Amino acid sequence: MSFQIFSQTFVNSLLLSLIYMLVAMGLTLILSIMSMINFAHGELYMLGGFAVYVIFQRFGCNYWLGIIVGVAVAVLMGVLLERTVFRPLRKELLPASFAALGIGMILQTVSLMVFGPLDKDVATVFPGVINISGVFIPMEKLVIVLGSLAVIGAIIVFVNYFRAGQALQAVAQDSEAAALMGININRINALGFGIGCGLAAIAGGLIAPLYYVSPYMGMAPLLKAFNVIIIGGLGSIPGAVLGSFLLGFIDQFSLTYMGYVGNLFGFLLIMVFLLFRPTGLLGRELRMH
Amino acid sequence: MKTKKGLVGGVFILALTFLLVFTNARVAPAQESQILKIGGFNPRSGPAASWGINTDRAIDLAADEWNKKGGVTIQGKKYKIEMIHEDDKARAEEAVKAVNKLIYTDKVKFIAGPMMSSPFLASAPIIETTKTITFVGCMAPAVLKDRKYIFRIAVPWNHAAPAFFKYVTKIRPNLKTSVHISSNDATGWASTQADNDACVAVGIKVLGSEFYDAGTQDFTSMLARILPLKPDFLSFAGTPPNVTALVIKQARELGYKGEFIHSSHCSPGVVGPIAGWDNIEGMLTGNFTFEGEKVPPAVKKIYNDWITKYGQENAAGFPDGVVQYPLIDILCRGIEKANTLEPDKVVAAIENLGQMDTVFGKARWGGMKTYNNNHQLLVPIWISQVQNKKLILLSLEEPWDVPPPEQKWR
Repeated sequence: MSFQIFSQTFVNSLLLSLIYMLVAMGLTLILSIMSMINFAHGELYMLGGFAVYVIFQRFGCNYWLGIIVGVAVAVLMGVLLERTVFRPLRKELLPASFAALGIGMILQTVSLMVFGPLDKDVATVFPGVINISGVFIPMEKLVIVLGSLAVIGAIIVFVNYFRAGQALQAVAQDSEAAALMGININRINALGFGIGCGLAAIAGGLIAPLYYVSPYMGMAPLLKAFNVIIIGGLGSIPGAVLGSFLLGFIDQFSLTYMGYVGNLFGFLLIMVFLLFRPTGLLGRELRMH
Repeated sequence: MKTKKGLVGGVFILALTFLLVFTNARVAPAQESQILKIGGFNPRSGPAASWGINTDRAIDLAADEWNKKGGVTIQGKKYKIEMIHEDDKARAEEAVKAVNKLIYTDKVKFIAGPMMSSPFLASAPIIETTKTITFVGCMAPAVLKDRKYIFRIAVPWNHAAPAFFKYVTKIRPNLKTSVHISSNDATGWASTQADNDACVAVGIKVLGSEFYDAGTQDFTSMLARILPLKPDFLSFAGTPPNVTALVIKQARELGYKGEFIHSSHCSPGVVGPIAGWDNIEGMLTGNFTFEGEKVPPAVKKIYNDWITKYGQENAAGFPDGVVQYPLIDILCRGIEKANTLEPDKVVAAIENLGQMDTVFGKARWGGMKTYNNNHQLLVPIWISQVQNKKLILLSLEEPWDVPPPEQKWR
């Protein structure tokens, strides 16, 4: 294989890693704060995709407006769900996760009823390809990369330098101690859940023009996001970043150099982590009640 | 206490979900006398839904035509056709569930239209054991081999591809090398085998074959392997239109300048908007269409009926499933000829229909040398081309009754 293929695969890996990161970020944030697996994450991602489809593709409005609407709906839904469904189930890993599964099924069925099962196309928003010495970078993917970097940057700044973000960290580390320090746990949980849902919608909205939109579009990214947080560590945002890059590079290089057999390597990696380092690279152990 | 409360919450959400799912479910029509029930199972949800839904729509349209004429006549009585469609989600276990329901609960004696090989193969033993006469569109050779009650209405790749690529070499002599892309399952491997055998048989060099796993949306790693080989064209056969579209889009983004060919049914109405119409201009497909001077008037009528009943969605060229439109006609003619619903007599009558006039051209049964039965419909294959967001019929070609021998293409 030539240097050009290696370079193209390297660039493809970077792009794929950042897409993985974008999807996994919200999932790991909710896991860290609420100690639950948000099985509805894929459907919130779908919601972001459909918001772009309706606002941008159907109504011809601005693409970014579609993303903003998707995020607003997802955040609102997240806050509402936290208040009505997940607050009573706080720190109850299994019941909360099953409830999320049910909510995901409801969202999928509703979108199936509203939009039908056929795939919907979203027109290319950023056409064109950058060619650097035979290595091609599609503009669309470049925008996703910039979007992902902006989102991760915003999350890091928010979590480290804003009071509400620091409160999120405190609740994730020890909610009882945080409550004793005067942090309003209910408000912080709602905020964290809302942000997590919003991140899923951002990912769906950004990725919609890259592929297509359908009620089932959330399934594959959800699985990849799970893989990322298993590798990176349950509930760890820096872990999700590391996990995304590790999985993205292994997926791309193994598939490029070995064909479809390369799919095995991602799964092998997950098995190795589950067996020898179940907390992932930077994760913590989840307490089950 | 908290766990109990949580579990109640979880159960409530799940119960709400099931309620929603069931309110969306179709209510079975009331039993009536003189009804001929025909079952069907296809993916009506999930990534292959566009194929399944359009197949079911084509079959429903054909059934409407018979019902308008009063239905099927058996021993002087008229039977109206009632279609019962099940969703197999393109999964084997769902297909088995659907077939059991159709045969044992709905009591159907005929099944029309399964078009995914892998799910169908899981259900085939039940179909054969219960003597349920079934017309399929799925393409894998094993679907038909040594079957007594299964007929295939769509011309599979091994019969169609040689005629298709022979025509390609005639109109595009510059296309000398190919790489085939397909799914990593029975359908994909069979289509790859057939396309590549056909290419070798007509003098096109096969540079490689690539398989993707179901659910894949990013094909850049696969394309990074393929594109340095510089194939003149990328070939798809058992690849759904949405996946074909993503591969085309990403191939162009990675600088591929060659052509794309989909030798089976792949609606440009689905591919164009996702892949970009410019990227598929000139693409050759085996899809049926209603545009072009060579299109028979009967096909134009089907198109008008389609638009009236289903609207304009995906209508650049016929949606993929329309290939199975003639099956209701052939089945009903067979039943009328047998003048009974007794399976063995209906099978014999269908086998002896001789040369048939179908909407897609003159057809006959063939396949004895390949499948040990004459249950393969040999109907002209349509070769069409994308021109300015339209699909124009270029030629009707006779499929090969005996496919080319297997080549060492891998």
